[in-house]
Amino acid sequence: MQSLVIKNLHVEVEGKEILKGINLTINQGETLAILGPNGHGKSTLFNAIMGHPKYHITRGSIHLNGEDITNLSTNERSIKGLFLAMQNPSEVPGVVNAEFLRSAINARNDKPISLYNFYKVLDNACKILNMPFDLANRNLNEGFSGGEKKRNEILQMILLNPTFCMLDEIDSGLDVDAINDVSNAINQLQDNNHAFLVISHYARLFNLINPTHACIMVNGQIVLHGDASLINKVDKEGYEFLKTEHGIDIEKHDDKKMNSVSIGVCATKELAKNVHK
Amino acid sequence: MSINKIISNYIVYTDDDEFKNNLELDENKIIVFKNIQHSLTVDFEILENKALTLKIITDGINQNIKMSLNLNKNSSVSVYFLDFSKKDSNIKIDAYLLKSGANFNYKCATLGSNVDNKNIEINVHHLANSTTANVENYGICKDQSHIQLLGCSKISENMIKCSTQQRAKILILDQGASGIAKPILKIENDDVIANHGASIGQLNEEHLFYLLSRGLSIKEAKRLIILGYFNNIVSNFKNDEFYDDINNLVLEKV
Ligand SMILES: Nc1ncnc2c1ncn2[C@@H]1O[C@H](COP(=O)(O)OP(=O)(O)OP(=O)(O)O)[C@@H](O)[C@H]1O
Ligand SMILES: [Mg+2]
Repeated sequence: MQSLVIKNLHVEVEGKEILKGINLTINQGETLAILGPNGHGKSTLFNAIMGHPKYHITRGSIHLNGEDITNLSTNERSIKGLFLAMQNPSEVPGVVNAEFLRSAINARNDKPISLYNFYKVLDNACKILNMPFDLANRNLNEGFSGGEKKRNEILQMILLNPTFCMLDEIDSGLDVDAINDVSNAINQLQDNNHAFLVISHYARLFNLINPTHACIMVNGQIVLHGDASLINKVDKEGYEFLKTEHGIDIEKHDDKKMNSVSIGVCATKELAKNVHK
Repeated sequence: MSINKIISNYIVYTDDDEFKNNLELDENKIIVFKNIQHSLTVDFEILENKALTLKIITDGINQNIKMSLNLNKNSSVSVYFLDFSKKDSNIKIDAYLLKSGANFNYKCATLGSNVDNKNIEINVHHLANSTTANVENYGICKDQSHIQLLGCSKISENMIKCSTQQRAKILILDQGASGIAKPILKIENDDVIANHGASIGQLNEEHLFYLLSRGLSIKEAKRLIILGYFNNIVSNFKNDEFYDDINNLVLEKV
């Protein structure tokens, strides 16, 4: 069984320590929900696992199936089976989506995929996502709507079939049908050969993909590990219980971002009610 | 693939040709300057009401080319220029918008590698009212190459209702490479629309990370990004009978 093991991970961004000792293990067959208020380091964790050059690991390690990948290049991590669906996927002007997808497939195969086979798998993946095929012929994410970008991330996940899929707010900006398409695509890969790490602020996505585990990140640390019941607790109560039940202070950020925490959580509460009606 | 193959039906200048330096153009042309060893000066006259597309490919060593385009009333020229010349290249184009309604549209991508030293200068002379021009130069500098993108668009005091743009962008890929992007505007009256922009930058870290995170090697990621700059020009060759050849040429060069 393959596993991703993170030990005492400390990460700095632009000289500021954001992650302060993360410990986390995930095995094939598991789906981990990662919750936490805005700005507390969730995306930073994913970026560090993927080897983003801005995120400096100052202490700790990342092991993939026993191999230390803490200093491995980003593309090698990808080829070894890590995948990150980004919170804000870059628009890369001039680079044609289909060309890029073909290069990405070829990067992990000995022989280049034939054009015929490529278009077959691409067409198939587009159908799973109800994604218009012509998005493949446009420049990579350039001018894509928010939802189209997110679908394009999942399209890549389907095409590359990674073992460890990190999905960072994959549900943000998706309409109701798109959330169903995306969760269907995730469900199809939820087996003993895959593992999912999923960040979201909304119970709706989690209800569709049934996480086996959940955790909460606050102040650059994972402060609580548990099962899926944590999701509903956060959804109903917000994060106040961390203070009242566990004595954990949530560091306030002085930027405007903090305002959106409460708004985000309220929205979730409303949304959850509608779903369960 | 050799460039000779692409160009059998095009105007091709090589060192062996007898140059026909003054051409009156009234149909679309693809012009290939191949391996010109000495300075070459060409003059094109674009006739009234004609709309032409010139597609230029340079593929030689030490290219030294001067081109003048003389645009008559309501004539229009679009230039799409792929520059793969090597070593010391000096390319200068002057567009003279002689009569009202003349329109000049120019897009170029140039690739510098090794110790290439390239100088591309595109000047637009608005010599009549209601003339329009758009100039875009993109340079990609690899290895220890140097690219200089210059150009001046001039609208004199008594020329009104003109519109002109000059843009230059250089992408530096390697530490030893360097570039200068200096498009300028000389505008001597108020009744015009004019803007210009210049940028010199390195590969966008986020773009690179995105491509690498999908398993592409740095080399392949750079290749796709460079290709992007050229696609911007090559896309204008789409309906050409030799599109595939040109595309392959670009793939081979990049
Ligand atoms: N590239 C970066 N440059 C500068 N600061 C950064 C960068 N990435 C993250 N940070 C900072 O690190 C902290 C954690 O950010 P991160 O994106 O990891 O939060 P998050 O938990 O994913 O929040 P959200 O729920 O809003 O997506 C924030 O204060 C953020 O401003
Ligand atoms: Mg985030």
